[in-house]
Amino acid sequence: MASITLDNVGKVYSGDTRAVGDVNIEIADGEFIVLVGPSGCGKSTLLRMIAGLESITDGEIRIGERIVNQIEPADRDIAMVFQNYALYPHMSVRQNLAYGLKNRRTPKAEIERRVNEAAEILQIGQYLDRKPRALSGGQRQRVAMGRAIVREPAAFLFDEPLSNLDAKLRVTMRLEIKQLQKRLRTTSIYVTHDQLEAMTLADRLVVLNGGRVEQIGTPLELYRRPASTFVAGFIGSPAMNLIPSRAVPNLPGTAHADTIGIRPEDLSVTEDGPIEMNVSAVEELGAQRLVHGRTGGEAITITYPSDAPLAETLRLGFDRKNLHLFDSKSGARIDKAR
Amino acid sequence: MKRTIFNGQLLPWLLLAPQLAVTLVFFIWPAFQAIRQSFLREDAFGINSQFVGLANFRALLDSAQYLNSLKVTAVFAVSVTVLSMGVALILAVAVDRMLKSQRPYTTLLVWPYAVAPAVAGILWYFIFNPTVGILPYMLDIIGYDWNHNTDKSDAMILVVIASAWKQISYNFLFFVAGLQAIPASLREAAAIDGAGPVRRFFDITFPLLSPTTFFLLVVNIVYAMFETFAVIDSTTEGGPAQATNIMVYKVYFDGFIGQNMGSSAAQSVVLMLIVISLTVIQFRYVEKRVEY
Repeated sequence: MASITLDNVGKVYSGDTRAVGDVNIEIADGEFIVLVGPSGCGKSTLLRMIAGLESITDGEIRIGERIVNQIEPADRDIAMVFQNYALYPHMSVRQNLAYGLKNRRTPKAEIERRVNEAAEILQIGQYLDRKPRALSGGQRQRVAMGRAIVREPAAFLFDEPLSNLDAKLRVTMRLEIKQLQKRLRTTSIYVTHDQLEAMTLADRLVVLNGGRVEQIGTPLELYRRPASTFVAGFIGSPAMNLIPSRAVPNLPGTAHADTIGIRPEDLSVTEDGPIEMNVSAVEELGAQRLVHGRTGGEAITITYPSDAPLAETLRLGFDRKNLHLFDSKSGARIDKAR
Repeated sequence: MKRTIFNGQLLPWLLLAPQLAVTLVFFIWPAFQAIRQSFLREDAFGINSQFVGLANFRALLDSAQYLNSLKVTAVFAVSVTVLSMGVALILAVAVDRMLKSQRPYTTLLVWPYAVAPAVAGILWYFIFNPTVGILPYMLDIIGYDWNHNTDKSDAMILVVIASAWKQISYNFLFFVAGLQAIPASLREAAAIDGAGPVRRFFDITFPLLSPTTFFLLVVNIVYAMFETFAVIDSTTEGGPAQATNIMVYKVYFDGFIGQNMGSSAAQSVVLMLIVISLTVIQFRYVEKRVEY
């Protein structure tokens, strides 16, 4: 177990392509950090830099007290779970789990003990002598995690480990990963493009965009106070409404911002609401419905109880404290206090 | 789309006829002739022939020259296969590690495959020529007297190199494709699991390459046994003292030079049996892929 520090970390590919730049993250011992962002934002590259599979061209990565920039992946004391699991197809599950320990000359009895322990934690005991191809997606996923656990490393690195599973299994495995991490208290860095996965798993989230950190914080901090329009639009589902303030004139307290943000769940239908919405489409979700429409020519979405009456035109109100203000040029948040 | 159904047998047979004719005339008939002839003894002018049963085959087994040829063929086939596959694998692994210049490098390495075996033989013949060749000249400097016209092992080394050289390109292509089919994440996982490059190769890459390796093994043995005729003919002509007289060359030599048609046909039949068994092995195992 160890803390991990990223100090001004960056990567420039030959030529001038900057994949990652100026990343500063302090990860505490035992913390579960999720790197989240759209595809191509550099999150996987960053994870692979921590793992040692990609070189670091700027800054410094420390695992524990040790600077690992020049250290081989094998010697960084990390374990990684890959998106395609990367199980060795010609080895049995047992050999897969033991391979890392065998290479490190762990005594046989110790290997045996750790493999059995991991198999028990992950409930893969009865598959130990099978080859990976005889396992289902979920079982392979468990073996991949088992291979990380047996090593008892300083940190787990997860590279979109659930993206090859079907939706239902993804939800189950998500919970299992969370519980497992709580139990083992091993520092974990998890990469995903799925904001829901990120929100549910993370102690703290790192939102990346274009190779740079947009915001770091707990899931609720990011949800409540997104630092930029990017984070506002990325975290939370359905996404926050981001509307040019000229589309909703006469809204008090918005004069100094040209973009206003308000979450669909924070908008309510009231007789005298300041926003007028022309309904264009309705999506039923069961417990509630998503109502899409336009206000002043701009798209707007609200969540709405499924039993409440609908009309062509709705008037919307909201609580002032749920209003987010942004500068449209930089995308940065503007504090209301100003 | 409407499916058209033709009644009657005529049209299908007509459509098959050209292919059937080619197969019959150029493959089945000669093979049958060889089998028939292997039971006959014929005079040198081909006027009289006489049924002799298995006498030709029995004579083969008693012939020290033929047994020598079997041994030479085995040594030759194994050497060519090991050399060409070994070198090809090393080159393929090297290319697999390259990022930028992979394509031109691959293209260049494939060129030798376009060289006809006879031309390749001549090429090596000149390079190794004891009188004017560059290699004997250089070997002479380090004190080795190269002469494949008189030295048996020199001759074998020459034909092995000349035959393997051409096959390297072919093997290389398959190995590169096989290597690229192995997900990079497997090797990365092994790297994180503490395996160094050599260990990764032997624990992960090589086992996963085994379907390709097995396929190439069969192809290379077949190549060495049957398609190296031109190389032998243009360099050593089976000599010196039968040292490079592989089976397929001996068939030609005994039949067309020695005019012993019965023995030559019997040798062809033996070769046929070998091809058939190699093909069976190939289909049975390669179709199923080597299990991992």
